[in-house]
Amino acid sequence: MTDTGCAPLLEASGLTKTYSDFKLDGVNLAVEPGSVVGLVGTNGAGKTTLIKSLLGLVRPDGGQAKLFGRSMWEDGSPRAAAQEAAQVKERVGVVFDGVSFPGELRVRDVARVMPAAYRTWDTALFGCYLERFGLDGRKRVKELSRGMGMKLMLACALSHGADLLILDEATAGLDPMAREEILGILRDFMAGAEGRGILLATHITSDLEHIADYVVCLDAGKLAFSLEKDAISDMAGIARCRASEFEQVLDAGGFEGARFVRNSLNIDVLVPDRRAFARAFPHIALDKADIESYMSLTLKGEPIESAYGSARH
Amino acid sequence: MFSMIKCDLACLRGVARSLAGTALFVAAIFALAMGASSVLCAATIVIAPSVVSRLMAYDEQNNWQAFRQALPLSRGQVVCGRYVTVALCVFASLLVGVAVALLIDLGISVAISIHPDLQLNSWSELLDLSLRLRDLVELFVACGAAGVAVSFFGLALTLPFMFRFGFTKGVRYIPLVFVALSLLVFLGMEGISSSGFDPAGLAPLLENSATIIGISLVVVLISLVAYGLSCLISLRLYKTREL
Repeated sequence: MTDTGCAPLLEASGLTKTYSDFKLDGVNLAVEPGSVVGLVGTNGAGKTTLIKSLLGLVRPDGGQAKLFGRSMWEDGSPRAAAQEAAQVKERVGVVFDGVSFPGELRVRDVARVMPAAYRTWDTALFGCYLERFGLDGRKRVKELSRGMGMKLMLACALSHGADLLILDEATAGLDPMAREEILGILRDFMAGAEGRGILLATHITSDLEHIADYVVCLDAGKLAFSLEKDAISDMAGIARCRASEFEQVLDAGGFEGARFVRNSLNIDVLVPDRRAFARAFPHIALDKADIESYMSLTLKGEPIESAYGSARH
Repeated sequence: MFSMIKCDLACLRGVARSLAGTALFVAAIFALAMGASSVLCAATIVIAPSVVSRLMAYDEQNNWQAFRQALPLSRGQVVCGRYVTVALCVFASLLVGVAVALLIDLGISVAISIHPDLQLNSWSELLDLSLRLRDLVELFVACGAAGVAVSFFGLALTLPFMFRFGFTKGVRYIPLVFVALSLLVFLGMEGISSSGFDPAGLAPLLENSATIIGISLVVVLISLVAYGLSCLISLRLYKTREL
């Protein structure tokens, strides 16, 4: 991520968390003011563990996890520090995967619970969001569809003047219209004031195409890549090579960092600079990369360097 | 802490009537069975576990406790707020129990004054307010104190487990705690009886109103101290819990 000269809104450095069957291993991540960072990865890659570490819900085993420059894990910290951490949370809006209120609560009860927690809670704004999203105050949380539940959570996250939104699968399970509406709200949030930021963990990479500035990918607890989105969608490409064409690419060399996957009909090669590749091999079919294909080829593909040896024998 | 209390009370708001209704119903059955309205003063024994189990179960619904920890509430505020909320519910239920018991007594007194030949067995003996006011106060204080003390001792034992393990897991340990405690009490009683001490010797003490009220207050005070210590333990346990 580029250095804007301001302190990051959110920062993980060398973050490690070990469970019996999983390890988050030395992950680095930052959300700078004014940026939207998409966090992608397969199921169980460690996205939620990373978010929980940042929010102080789990204790990191190593490294640092900070929001607005402050660790959120309270164990052993004096009362004043814990209260300062609570004050930092005033500036953070969080949406987890699913509605996070007890099922028996009514929507109007949520409107009583949240002002109790946030000093900066804007009841009128929350009411506006409820109206905008068509949320009935009499409905119980358990009666809400997933889409309506997510809208309720988003209304909560947006109604206390947060500077940072942390969204874990906030658009999962929503229909395309609802997702587009939510992405519009997130864009409005970013445009609403300077210095705001969003960390958006999602499986739906097409959402990130619309909104993200940076894309961070985790794989089995490790950082697979961390790039500006433009480095993927503007720069990278996927060459659809026949076997003979792939041999030519290998013979030419000079595409360090490229990765490839052998399919039944051809070989897909992820190239970091598609224009350079197109100049070198104008006859090879070349598509723009999107986040999904970039992630897929990065995680499943082999480095092209591994094919050099086999091609030359 | 007040934020957490408000959160908990907002969560309880929707179920307050059903909780109160259940507690009064159970207490009323006991009162009828024992022939004494003052048992209603101990309705808090029913309320306390109901409130705690409801709140702790809510914590686990939809990962509410993890989300709540992402709100501007410290873990200390969560624990202290929860303890205060439950204590408030205990005292509120005590007040409601006393009020309902008084209303019942008043109603029966009126009924007896209108129909002097009305036979209500032990009720009629107890509930002539004009003659037995002192006994009534003693009974109410003793029953109320017993209810509050049992509630706080029970909560003091169970809440740390709930805060450490959560409701679903914590509730598994609670029967073990009570079995161990019952064993200790049993052994203690055995020890007392084998030492030659006769508890009947204390009976004259209980003939004095001031002594009964004093003992009741001391017992409540001790239970509150236990509750406070339990809160400190829960604070330590909850601060290290991963959500």
